[in-house]
Amino acid sequence: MNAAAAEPFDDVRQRARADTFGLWIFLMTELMFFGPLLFGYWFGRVEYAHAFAVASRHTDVTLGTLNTALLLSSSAAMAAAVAARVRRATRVATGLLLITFLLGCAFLVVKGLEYRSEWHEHLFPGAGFAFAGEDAAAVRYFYFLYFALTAVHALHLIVGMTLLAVFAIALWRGADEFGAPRRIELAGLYWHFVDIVWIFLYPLLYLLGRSGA
Amino acid sequence: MHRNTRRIVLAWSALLLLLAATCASAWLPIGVWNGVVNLGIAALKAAIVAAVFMHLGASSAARACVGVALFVLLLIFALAGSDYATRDLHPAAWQPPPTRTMP
Amino acid sequence: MSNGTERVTEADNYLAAGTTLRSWLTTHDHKRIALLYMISITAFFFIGGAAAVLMRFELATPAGDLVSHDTYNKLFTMHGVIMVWMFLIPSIPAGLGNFLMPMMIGARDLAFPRLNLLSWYLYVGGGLFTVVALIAGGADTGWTFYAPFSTLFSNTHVIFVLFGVFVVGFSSILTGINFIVTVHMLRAPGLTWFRLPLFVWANYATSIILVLATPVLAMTLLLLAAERLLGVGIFDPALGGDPLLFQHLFWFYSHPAVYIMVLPAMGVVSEIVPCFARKRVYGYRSMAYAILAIAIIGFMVWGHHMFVSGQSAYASLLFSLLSFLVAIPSAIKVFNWLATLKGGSIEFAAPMLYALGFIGLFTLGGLTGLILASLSADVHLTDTYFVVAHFHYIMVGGAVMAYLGGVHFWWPKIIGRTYPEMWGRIAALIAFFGFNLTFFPQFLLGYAGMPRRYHVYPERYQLLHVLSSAGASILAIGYLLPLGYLTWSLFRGPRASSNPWRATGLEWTTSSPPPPHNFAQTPIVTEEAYAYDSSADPKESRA
Repeated sequence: MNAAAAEPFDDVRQRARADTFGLWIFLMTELMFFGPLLFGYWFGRVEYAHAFAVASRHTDVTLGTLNTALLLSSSAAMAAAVAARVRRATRVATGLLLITFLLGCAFLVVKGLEYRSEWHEHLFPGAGFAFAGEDAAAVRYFYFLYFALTAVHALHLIVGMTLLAVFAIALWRGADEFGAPRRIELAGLYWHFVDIVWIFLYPLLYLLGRSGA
Repeated sequence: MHRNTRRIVLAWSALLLLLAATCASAWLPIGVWNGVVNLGIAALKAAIVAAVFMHLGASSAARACVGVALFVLLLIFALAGSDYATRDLHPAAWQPPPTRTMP
Repeated sequence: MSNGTERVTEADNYLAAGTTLRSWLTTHDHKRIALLYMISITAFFFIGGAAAVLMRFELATPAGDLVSHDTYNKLFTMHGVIMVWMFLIPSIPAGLGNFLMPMMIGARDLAFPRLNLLSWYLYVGGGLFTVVALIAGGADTGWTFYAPFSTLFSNTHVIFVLFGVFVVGFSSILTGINFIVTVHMLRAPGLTWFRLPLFVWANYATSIILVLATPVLAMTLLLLAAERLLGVGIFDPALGGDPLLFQHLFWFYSHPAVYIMVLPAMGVVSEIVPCFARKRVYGYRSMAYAILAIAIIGFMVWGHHMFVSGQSAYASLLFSLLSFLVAIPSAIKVFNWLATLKGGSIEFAAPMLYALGFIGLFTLGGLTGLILASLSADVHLTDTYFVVAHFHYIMVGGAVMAYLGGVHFWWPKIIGRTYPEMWGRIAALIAFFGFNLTFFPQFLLGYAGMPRRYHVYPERYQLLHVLSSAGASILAIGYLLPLGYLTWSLFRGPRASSNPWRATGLEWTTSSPPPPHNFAQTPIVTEEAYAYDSSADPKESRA
């Protein structure tokens, strides 16, 4: 029979601090994961400033701004959910987790609408890319980064939403230990990080060249 | 309890206001300063999320993580950037890529 | 601790606590996971070694008569990929480190035991996937996957190999997170940072590199795959991209990766040398600071792989200067090891032979690194066998020797049996001799102009190649011998006492092999590390 797993920590508080520390390190690995894409973006922005402005003007700034507002609100809802769970207001926390989840869904729907229209405009990188105007190749470079950055972000968002759904359902079913405050806090940290990534993606992708310069 | 909720609502309002500001400012004809303003506002929003929602102020370990990671990330920009800043790039004529047989 | 069946007491050693395959494959015990790693990395080492054997056979003659051009390209690619990612990077951290890190700090396990098991599964999964890709025909791009060859022209299974490496990378990241949190939070009472064994410092710094650099590689490999599949153009100058962008991103990870490989090796040497010199490590604090300095400055030197690639002269200047700087803490470490040896009471046990070999070979490798870091010299030496010799002196003469030294040193603790000491010394000497015969001629070859990654060459280089190939066969014996006698000792070796080397360090206070949870009670530490030649010096082996 396998020996029982050693519990390396002496008390629950120490374990909680270790989990939080571990998650922060993980978030930093995520930051470094986005790093090359951000540097690739920077290279293109400096090298092909004009084409990047043209391409960015072609994104849907209304939907992009709406999406940013949705995510910022979802972060607020998540923070409230964590606070509620910590003070044992479990019903309120479950409701707020659900709101956060729904805001994430709304983001994905809007993103999907954007992708759909971009697909129809032949802006997806690959053999089918077509752009009328000069600097088409540099515009294509921008759009590769646009899709890469937003897709990787969306994948991370979906992972976060899955976590939220799992915890919300668990708490609704009364599994208070599974949905312990510590775990909701950790999920919150992850969610806020995904939000921060979008906070930077929004101006980088949607707001270039809007002043017509 | 109530104080906590107030902080969250205040932070949320600030974030939405900053969003409106960054969006509106993008239309101002201030040239290269558009980028500076937008990224600055983004950094501010990120700081609010980090400080108020993620409690970054409360944990020195977390702050150390973020500091070290940002420093290392900046190294890519600074050192690889030094290459691009001091190199003359001569773009080739645009051509479609060749086809290939295997993934 | 009862497990609910008829047994009343748990096993008194971790090897006996559960003998089914399932107990091993579902274990959370860091010691068992370490053994799982050590078995897997040994298998990958011999696969990567087989590629090298074929290469050295081919290179014994100037003509390309053993394998075709394409096959040779695939051989050196798979040799590099497997040796770097499936052997060197996990060997000391995930093999020895997983076993020792909790024990050295007086903990019962790592901070996240289940994450540790996941690390191993990711490693084995990614590694197996790479081997399958190899069998399907492998890749021929070199382990460096440079664009545009890898993205536009190579007609091999590049994406399969990329995927295998991508998965293995996550294994590294999880190990790094585990180690960092463990060292910060699970040190025994009294074990302050500057009382830690240098092996712990080394793996801690390595873990910082692991978590910050590996994700960059992960994204870079994804971008390479996207470029290959979609033709997006980020690395293609004809579409507005830059092939050097790939090189910057790739080497941003891959240079710190070499420190991932060498820092833990230095940690091992810092454990062995004081034990077999019966003397404290000279300059403990500077050794710890040097480890951190190597890790930090190591992030700033990657452009020295790109001096002739088209990188700007100013950036090359900057990278060259920083590369010289990173040699300083390495040199400090070598001086301190030598100062530790001076005046010590030296015993030439097998682990010590490996450690001494490390010091000499790492020094030579490091000095030749400085030669390559000089811009004017590098213009002539880059992409020649000089570079190949340089990095093999560090990776094989350094890291592999240190790994073997560590395996021998801690073998009694890990397995509970001793290996035959005479064979240990013979194998170490054979490996040292074989190594130098293999790789020293390669410095001369490179200096004379022999390019790397070529299997056809002018006749005037043949003598040196023959010497190198002969050396490789001797080196192979040096590696096969431990495989033999260590396996033998698993079943027939004499039982080991808890501290056969009379070493300091918390891991030596437990039985050999240790009990499943390491320490019945958390130890309290009251003295500095390496308390040799003091009242706390372990004079007699404890039963």
